[in-house]
Parts: sequence; structure tokens; C-alpha cells
Amino acid sequence: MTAALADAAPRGVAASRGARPAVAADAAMLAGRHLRLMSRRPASVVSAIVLPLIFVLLFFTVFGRVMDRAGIDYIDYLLPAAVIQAVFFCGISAAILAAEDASGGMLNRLRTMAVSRSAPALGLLGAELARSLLSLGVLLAIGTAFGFRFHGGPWRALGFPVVMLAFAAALVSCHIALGFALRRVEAVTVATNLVYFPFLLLSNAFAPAAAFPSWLRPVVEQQPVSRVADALRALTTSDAALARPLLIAGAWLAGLLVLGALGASRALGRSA
Amino acid sequence: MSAAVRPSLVGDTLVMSGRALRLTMRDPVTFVLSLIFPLLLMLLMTASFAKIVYPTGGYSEFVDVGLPAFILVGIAFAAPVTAAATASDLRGGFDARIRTMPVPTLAALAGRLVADTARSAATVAVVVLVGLPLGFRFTVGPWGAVGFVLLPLLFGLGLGFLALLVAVRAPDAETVNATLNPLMLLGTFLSTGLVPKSDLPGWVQPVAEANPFSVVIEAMRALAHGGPTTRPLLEALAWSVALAVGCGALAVRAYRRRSARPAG
Amino acid sequence: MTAAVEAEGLVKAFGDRRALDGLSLRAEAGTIVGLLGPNGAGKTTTINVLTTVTRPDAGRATVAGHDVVREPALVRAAIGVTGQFAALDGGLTARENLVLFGRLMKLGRAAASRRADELLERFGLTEAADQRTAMLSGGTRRRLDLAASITREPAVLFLDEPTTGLDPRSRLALWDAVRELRASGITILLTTQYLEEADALADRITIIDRGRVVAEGTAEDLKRRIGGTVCHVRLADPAEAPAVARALAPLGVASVVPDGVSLPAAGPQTLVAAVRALDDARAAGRLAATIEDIGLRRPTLDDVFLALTGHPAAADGDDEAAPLGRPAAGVGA
Ligand SMILES: Nc1ncnc2c1ncn2[C@@H]1O[C@H](COP(=O)(O)OP(=O)(O)O)[C@@H](O)[C@H]1O
Ligand SMILES: [Mg+2]
Repeated sequence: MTAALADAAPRGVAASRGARPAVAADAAMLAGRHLRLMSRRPASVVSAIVLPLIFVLLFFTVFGRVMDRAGIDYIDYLLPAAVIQAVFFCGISAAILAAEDASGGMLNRLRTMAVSRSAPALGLLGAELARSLLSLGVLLAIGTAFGFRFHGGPWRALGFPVVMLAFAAALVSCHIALGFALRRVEAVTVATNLVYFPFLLLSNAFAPAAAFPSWLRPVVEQQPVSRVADALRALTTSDAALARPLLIAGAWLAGLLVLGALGASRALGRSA
Repeated sequence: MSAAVRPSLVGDTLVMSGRALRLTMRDPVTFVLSLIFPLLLMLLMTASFAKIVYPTGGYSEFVDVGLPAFILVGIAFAAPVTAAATASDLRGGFDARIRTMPVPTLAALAGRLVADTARSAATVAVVVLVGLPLGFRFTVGPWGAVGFVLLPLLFGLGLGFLALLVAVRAPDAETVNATLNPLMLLGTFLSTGLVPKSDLPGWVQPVAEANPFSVVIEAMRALAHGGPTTRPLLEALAWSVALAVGCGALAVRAYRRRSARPAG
Repeated sequence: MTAAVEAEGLVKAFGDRRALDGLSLRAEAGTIVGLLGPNGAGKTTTINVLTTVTRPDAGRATVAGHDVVREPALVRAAIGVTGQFAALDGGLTARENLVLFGRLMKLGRAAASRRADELLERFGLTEAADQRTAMLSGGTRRRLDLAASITREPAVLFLDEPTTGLDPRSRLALWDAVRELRASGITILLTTQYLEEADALADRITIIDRGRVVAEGTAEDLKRRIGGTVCHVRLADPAEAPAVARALAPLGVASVVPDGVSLPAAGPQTLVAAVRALDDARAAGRLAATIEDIGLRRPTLDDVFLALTGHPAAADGDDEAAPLGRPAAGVGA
């Protein structure tokens, strides 16, 4: 690859335009860069592997018994929540990396180079999707050890990572747009937390909607995180109806993805 | 002229605290968020878990029993922020100058802790003020209330020194966060703060009981609601002082051993 | 005269690397002493020892009459330090920084505030007074850093590479500030990689290399020792350098440098003699080298090192500091 680059370099932009479809290659290269950055950053490793684990362990040990008493098999209930939380961590990481690139000049540098315009966003997205799969693997391993099972057979089980990836794509792209737009890392940290806490805790992810006060319940039931949790949980059971939760979650995710893509491309077009 | 220039532990600590307070106030968003965080957590956890933890009681009971835990959550998760700031001080040029000035080591380190304690006091006030209409009750009287406010501040100072120790020894601000955040999560969750001890799994019960967070929370409950107070209070004070003195001494030693070589 | 700084036989090792290897140093009260050396020579380590930041492994030093190891608090009360990297609180404004450091030097609230205003005025920082220091330009930050070291007028001021990385104008402004401080009676120990800077500011210069002193004297002394100018022969093929050096040997100590040969010069006559010697050698068939350039030039730190140590001033390569051998524009001016 380096040899190819060296060959292409002296011929300049015009020549490499001629060589074309760079988007995928550029995005892959930038995804590699982000993965390398993450692997060297203790905070990233902790939030990708350690924190999701700690949350599962803590919620399971602290609330397992009371949930049991309420008639809920908590590890089965908790695992989709932990996966959703891990995806949120990916989103937060994406927003911070995007802001760093936007404020640190990397984004501007890339724009002056023969790199396709959407590659910075797509590369970051790719890296975060890879990271979400890593978190998923870790969570499934620990969950299985605590008794989590897919009760719905292999096809439903296969749907689980697919829905997670769709959720990750939608959420991460919105966070990338946020990072590119805000640019200041502190501002991004604040904003992402303002999204993360209410959406995650005012959902049916960690506790069933029925436990919430009645006036809050409609919000808790309808909001996208709960809808994604519904879809993920339907995929872990054998009896639940599948089509309805998948369709509702799918609609939400498609909408969010469009929002994120529009936002990111606007922010990319503006930042000079 | 220079004969009058003597290191002064109290005076220099106050000057350094003034600086830290000023820096805190300069970043009002972070300050307000650090106050909102425990509130938000209390409201959200109450909304989602109260009915499950206390099927017969409910929201007000969860707030009444859980409020000390949310105060400690607010204080505990501010510690890594302070520690990260200290770590940046140590790596940036600021510390390089302090080391050449007639300033005691402890004052150089402790300024941020004093400012932090002021912030923790605001946290306690905010959580209590919101908790009162939601079901939190003081039933012991004014002295209990005073102790209830002061105890978490003292324990927060202990946590602050622990955080300082990590900050002095860690290679960078990110490592500080990556070390302290999981630690604080374990401390606050694996306690008797959110769920009664009898509802925790058997193997966790002794851990939760020994956990200093539980010790302080139980003492705060006694101060607010009555019951035997002396023993829990003494235990909580012992933990707080031990953390502050032990970690403080280790942090000062580590600071002196660090070579002062700013990045670059 | 009394010594404001006196160091004897300082040794400091990091692992098996001796940053200071028996270094001795003296600065008379009220003078400027320049500590000149390439990257990695041990300048910062020397400053760190003298300012109580680092404990020496061996040797002793006093600053303002106090032992740096046994009486660090008294030393700290008497000194000001401007390190190699700006030592300020980036989150505070310029004025707030000055007040803070004044208070830590035990000035009262009002006195610290008055002194801050005075320093802002004196260092041309009034416009930057209310800006956070993280936002200031490099030159402004350096001046503020200097001001922060004298919130309480020190007996001895240490400046570690005060102008490295500055643009020429900021550099001259800083030189003026340093001269003014000397005029007010402060003893100043400054380190630099630039012969020109030591020449412009210092009353006496101590040249160090690999943690040892290689020469000490006034700028005049040192320049005399290296002849004031050098005759430099640039070769197309450096492999020919030894042959050229042999041809020039009768004229003085000709040494091989990276791009050719260098020879201490007494004046234009050395150049004429060198050209003749090379011609003779060529005529006699002892020399076949292609000479790209031959001429007189001002000595650089490289030349000083070559003349004094017999080896080039090899940079340590541990950071991006300015290359040695910058044209020594100020020498002799
Ligand atoms: N804290 C340290 N740890 C290890 N090596 C160091 C340390 N400080 C300095 N050194 C080494 O000691 C030598 C002298 O360094 P320094 O005093 O910084 O030189 P200068 O300031 O002249 O460039 C260098 O080789 C440097 O790499
Ligand atoms: Mg240096």
C-alpha cells in the first residue's frame, strides 16, 4: 500500500482523481487510524471493555434479587440494556474524536488532500462500528457466564448483532455530526452526557416501563432507546412477536441515520 | 527582604484554593453539571427503580433511604475531574514554577481539594433541597442535620486525597479518569446505598458492609433518621481521616519523588 | 566581589547517563552569566539543581548564600525562575497569574495587585492583561513568564533558554528586558544554545558539554581563543576532507567538519594563505578534491566546540530545538 501511495504521490490530485473510487479505501484507512488512536488511549479501552462489564456486573449484583422478586429474569433483561449502553459509549467516543479532528486541524488537512469528502465521517463510523462489535463480544461472553441465553434459535440470535449495528450506525452518525459541529471537546462532553443520561435512564432499558410513574410511562415507552431495546429483547426470546418491534425500531433508526448523515455533511461543508 | 518570604501551609493553601475556585467558576457549565449529575441520577433512578426495590413503599421511601447515596455519588464522581485537572497542572508548566517557589508541597496539592469541598457543599445542599419535597426527612434535629452535611464533606476530602494520589502517579490525565471512574462506580454501587443489604447476593453482602461508602451512608442515615449513631459515626470518621491522611502522605511523597520535567 | 551562585563538582545521573559530570560554576553578584551548550549538554539539569527542583547526586551549590540541598526554602525565597517551557496557569488571565504568583511569594493582597499592574506596564503586557494565558502568542507568553518570575524582586534570576523558539523581534524585546533587570541589580544566570545570545547579554560565559565545563571567560576571551573568524572550505565530496586538512595543517589546527574543513583564521591573510596552500597541494598532485566554496565566516557554536572540545557539538536529538551553527550574526558587532 505504501508503494502504491508513493507511486501515486508525484502525479498529483488530477491523476489520482482519474484513478477514482477512493471513498471506500480512504474511509478504511481513516478507520484504521481511529482504531489505532483508540487502542492507545486508556480511556477508550476502558469505555469499550471495562465500563460495559462493570455496569453489567454492578446492575446484576445490585438489582438482580429485587428484579427476581418482581418476576423478571434480570440477566436476560439487562444484557440488551448493556449493549445499548456500550453503543452510547461508542457514540460519545465518536463525538470526541470528531471534535478533536475538527478543532485540531486534521479535518482541514484532509480537505486539502485528495481524500473523498465523506471519508472522515465514514472512517470514524467504521471504527466505532468495529468497536461496538468488540463490546458486544465482551458483553455476550460475560452475560452467558451469568446465565444469559438466546431463547429464540439461531436466526433470531443472528438478528441481534444486526439490530445493534443498525442502532450503532444511527447513533454514532448523529454523534459524529455533533462532534463536527461543536468542535470544542468540553462542549461535546457536556452535550453527549445530556443526551446519554436522560435517553438511557428514561427508557425501559434497565427497568421495565411499568415501574415508572404513570405520567412518565408514555414517554418511556415511545422513545427510540426503548424501541430499540424492545427489538433487541424480541430477538432474545422465542415467543414474542417480531415484526412490530423490528419495524418500529427500524423506522426510528432510519430517521436518526438520515438526521445524522445530513447533520454531518452540513457540518463538514461548513467547517473551514 | 527575602527573609520574610517563608513557606506558609495555611496561607499558601488558601491562595491555591482561591486559584482553584476561580478556575472552577470560570467553567460554569462543568460546575452546574457536577451539581445536576447526582440530581439527575436520583430522579431517574427513583423513577425507574423505586417500585422495584420497595414494591410496597415507593418513590418517597426510595428517596428517603437513598439520598445519602446520591450525595456520595455526586461527590465521588467530582473527584476524578479534580484529579485530571491536577494531572494537567503537573504536566503543564504551572507546577514547574510552583516547585521553585517557597510553597509547601501539601499546599501546592491541596488547593484544588479546598475548592472541591466548597463545590461538594453545594452538591449536598442541592440534593437535600430537591430531596425534601420528594420524601427525604430529617427526624433527629439540628445537630443531626449539621453532621449529615459535614460528614460527606469530610469523606469527600478523603476521596479527594485518594484522587490526588492517583493524579500524581499517573502518566496523564486520561489514565487518571480511566483508573478512578471504575473505582468510584464500584464504591458507590457495591454498597448498601441503593438496595438494602438483605437484597444483595450473599457474596456481595460482606463486601458492601465493609465498603467505606456503605459505612458513611449508614452513618448519614443514622444522623438523619435516628437509631444508634455513635458507632457508625466513629467508623465513618475513621475511614475519612484514614483516607485523607494515608493518601495525603503518599501523594506528598510521590509528588516529591516525581522528577519535574514538563512534557517537551 | 561575592558570588551569588556558586556550584562545585555537581553530579547528576539519570540511569547510567551523567547529565552533570562534575560541573562547577560561579556567578558574581550583579552580573549576567551565560551557560552555553548544545541540546542535551546539561543546561536544564544545572538550572533544576540550582533552583532546588532536582537533588544533585554529588557536589554542592549555594544560591544567594544558601545551600540548595539543605536550605531549599531559603533559596526559593531568593530566586526567580523562567524555565525552558512557559510556567503559567493557562486558565487564568495574565494579570491573575501575576497576582497569584505574587501572593505565593508572600506579597499582601494589595501589594501583589499593585506589583502585577506595574509588571504588566513594564513588560508591555497591558493589552494582554485580561486574556487567558493559553490564548497568548509565544513571545507575549514568554515575557509574561519572565514577569511572573520577578513578582517579588529576586536576588538571583534563572532563565533557561529564554528565547528559543521566538521570532527575531520578540527575541530582541526579551533581551532588552533582561538587560533592564540586570541594571536593577539582579544576578542573572541564563542558558542558551546561541553564541550570539550569550555574547549579547552575558558578562561571562561558561561553555558546557556533556555535563562538564569546557571553557569559561568573557565573550572576548572565548572569541580570542577561537580566533574570531574561521576559514571554511566546503567540499563536494566530504571523503576528501582529510587530504584537505593535511594540506592546510601548516596554517593552524585544521579540523574536519561535516561538509568540509574548518580552520581558525587570523584575518583575510589566512584566506589568501589557504587558497595558496590548496593550489600548491594540487600542483604537487597531493590533492584532487573539488572545492565548492572557500571563505571566511563568523564562528558558530559548532566552531567553538570544535576548537575547544575537538568534537562537533552533536545535538542530543531529544527535541526539535534550533539547529546549531546558525549564522552568528551578532558576534563582534
Ligand atoms: N528526568 C530525566 N530523565 C532522564 N534523562 C534526563 C532527564 N533530564 C535530563 N536527562 C538527560 O540528561 C541530559 C541533559 O539534559 P538537559 O539538562 O535537559 O540538557 P539541556 O537543557 O542542555 O538540553 C540529556 O541527555 C537528557 O536526555
Ligand atoms: Mg534544556
